[in-house]
Parts: sequence; structure tokens; C-alpha cells
Amino acid sequence: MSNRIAFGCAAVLTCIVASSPALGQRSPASKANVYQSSFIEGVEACTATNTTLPGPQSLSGCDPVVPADDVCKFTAKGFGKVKLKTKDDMKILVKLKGLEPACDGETLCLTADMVWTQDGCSSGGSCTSESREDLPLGASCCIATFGQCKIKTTLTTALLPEAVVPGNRTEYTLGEVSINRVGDFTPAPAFRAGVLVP
Amino acid sequence: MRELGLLWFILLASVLATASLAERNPGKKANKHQVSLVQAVEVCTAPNTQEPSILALASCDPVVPSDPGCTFGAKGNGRIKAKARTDIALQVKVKGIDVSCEGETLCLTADFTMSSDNCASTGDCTSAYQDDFDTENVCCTVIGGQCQTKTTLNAAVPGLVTIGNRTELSLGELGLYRAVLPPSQPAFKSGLLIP
Repeated sequence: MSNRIAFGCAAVLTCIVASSPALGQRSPASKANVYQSSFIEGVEACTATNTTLPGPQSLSGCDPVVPADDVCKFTAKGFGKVKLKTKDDMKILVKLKGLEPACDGETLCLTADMVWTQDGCSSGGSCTSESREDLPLGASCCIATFGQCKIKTTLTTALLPEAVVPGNRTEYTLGEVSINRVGDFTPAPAFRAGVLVP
Repeated sequence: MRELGLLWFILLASVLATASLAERNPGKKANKHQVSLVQAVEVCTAPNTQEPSILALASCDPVVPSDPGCTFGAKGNGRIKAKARTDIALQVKVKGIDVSCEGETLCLTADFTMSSDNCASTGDCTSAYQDDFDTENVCCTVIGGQCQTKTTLNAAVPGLVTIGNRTELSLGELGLYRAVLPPSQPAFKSGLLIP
């Protein structure tokens, strides 16, 4: 009888010990392979509010709206989109059309707010990186020509071949995805992922 | 006479400046935003290790789920879609949620900046940055490991998008949080996974 109790206690203890690391373990998604969005014109951040937006929340706002970049803007027919697709690497596709002539010759680069989570860290376990805002995705850039700018690359080509450890599962938390003009030192990007109504 | 001319010039310049602000081109056909979901983890503030790629980013071990009470099961995955036309159609679909989350209500949270031409000041205006905005009514209940909902932004937050007016929504991080927790503690966040 006492052996049985001892065995039962040992089993319960084993379960507790086994389930504790599970809390610390990751339960990543089985699939998280697409991010796609339209681009809208970036505007200056609103810090000194002087009005409110419509709706029950009456969000505080700033009047007027100030474009973030005076050089690279959309014309009336301008539009843009981004698609990030993952498998063993990350495919990066950006298309901007109908840019103002003033933007011709300018270099536009993709940036993202990101956090990395992966296995095999120098500590031996899994780890989460610090939050990176407006992280340039390496050479994910294009030069605006005749109002167009296209990027077609991969993360390992644009950044470094070793930016993705083969076979190592990496999760990227994605915040804002933007297009910045090289040489524009204002903090707000020229174009931001978003939607427009109507 | 000279003073009158100067006054006209100033008036004309200010009218032109106002008109140019109203005539922004925010982007044609900006109507789609779609993200996959990954498990949300706690922000790393006191790094104690480095991640293994050549970037060797300062990192924190262990990885701490933001909401250990609601995670993906072995085959879990999810996505959030926003499609804009005269309103913004929202679609949330999550599958394979761990059984521990069964019966819980998950709601959409978003980081965004909104610009509108229907502000109290009568001009165009941009909102302050909205961090972990609670959409309140964009929620679903986890049943059989699944949680899905379809709605519009105007149905969820009436009046936020006014029909006939222009609304621009710059979108950052999207997430799903358990209704019993604050929106700043989501279970799932927008992201990507390799491989």
C-alpha cells in the first residue's frame, strides 16, 4: 500500500515537474506565413492635440495633417503595396507606383517594427529579442524611377545569409511596416502600411 | 494701396496652403491589410543572452508568453484581415487553440493612427498614436479550438468611420487578447514564422 502511495506521489511530482517547463515553452503557430498590406502616405506624428476625430471615442487629434515627407509622395493615381511571405526564408515584395516626379532618383527602403523569438540562443534555450522599431530590412531598397519603385528580394539576400539560421524556428512579431526615404531624417516614414476609406 | 496688395497676397497664400493640405493623395486602392498570427511574448527589457543569427540581437531567455492561459495547440494558426471600401470589413479566424482556452472570449486590439477629413476643427486631422486600442466589439468565443468573427469597423465602433468622409488608417501591431485581461496583454500578435 505504502509503495502504491509512494508511486502515486512520484507520478504526480513527475507530472508537475514536466508541466512546469511547458509554461516556459513556446507554442508557436503551425503556420504564420503571410503579411500583406497597402501603403498610405505617412504623416507627421500628432503630439500637440488641438481637435478631435469623429466617433464615440472622440480621439484627440492634430489639425492640420502634415505629410511626413515633402519629396516622396503619391500623385492622384499613386498607390503601393507590400507582401512578406515566409517558408525557409522571407520573400519581400514591395511595389510603389505613381510617385511624385520629385521622388525620382530617391532611394526608398523597407523598415519594420519587429521582435525575434527563436531557439538555440547563446544561453542554450529559446529567447526573445528586444523590440526593434523601424528596423531596416537590410538592402530591401529601390530607387524611384519614372514614379515607380519595386523591391523583390529575400531577408537573407537583403540582410545577410546568416540572418536566418537554417532549420531553426524563428517567430517575428510584426508591428508597423513602412517605407523610408534614405536621407530623410524626419522620424515619420514616407509611406506606412494601412488602408483608406472610401 | 501697397498694404492692400500685401494683404491680398497673404490671404491668397494661406488659401493655397489650406487647399494643398486638403488635396493630399494618401494612396489610391489602399484597401487591404492581412496578417498571420504568432504567439505573443513578453517584451524583452533586461537582455541576458543573444539570439543565434549573425545579427546577435540582445535577447531575453526564457521566452515568456504574454498570456500563458491561451496559446496555440500543435496545429494552431490564425489570421486577421481588413478590407476597406465604404467601411472596413474585419475578419478574424483562429484555429487549433489549446484546450485550456476553450470558452474564453478573444477580442481584437490594434495599434494605429487615424487621419480624417471630418474632424471637430472642420479641417483634416491626424489622431495621436493609439497603442493597444480596444475595438470592444470585435470578439469571438473559443469553441472547439476555433474562434472566428466577421464584422465591420463601423459596426464595432459606430461613428469611427463616417460614411462619405475620407478615413486613413495607418496600422501597426494587431493582436487578440482574452476579454478577462487588458488589451496590452494579448495572447496572439501579428507576425511571421520561419520555417
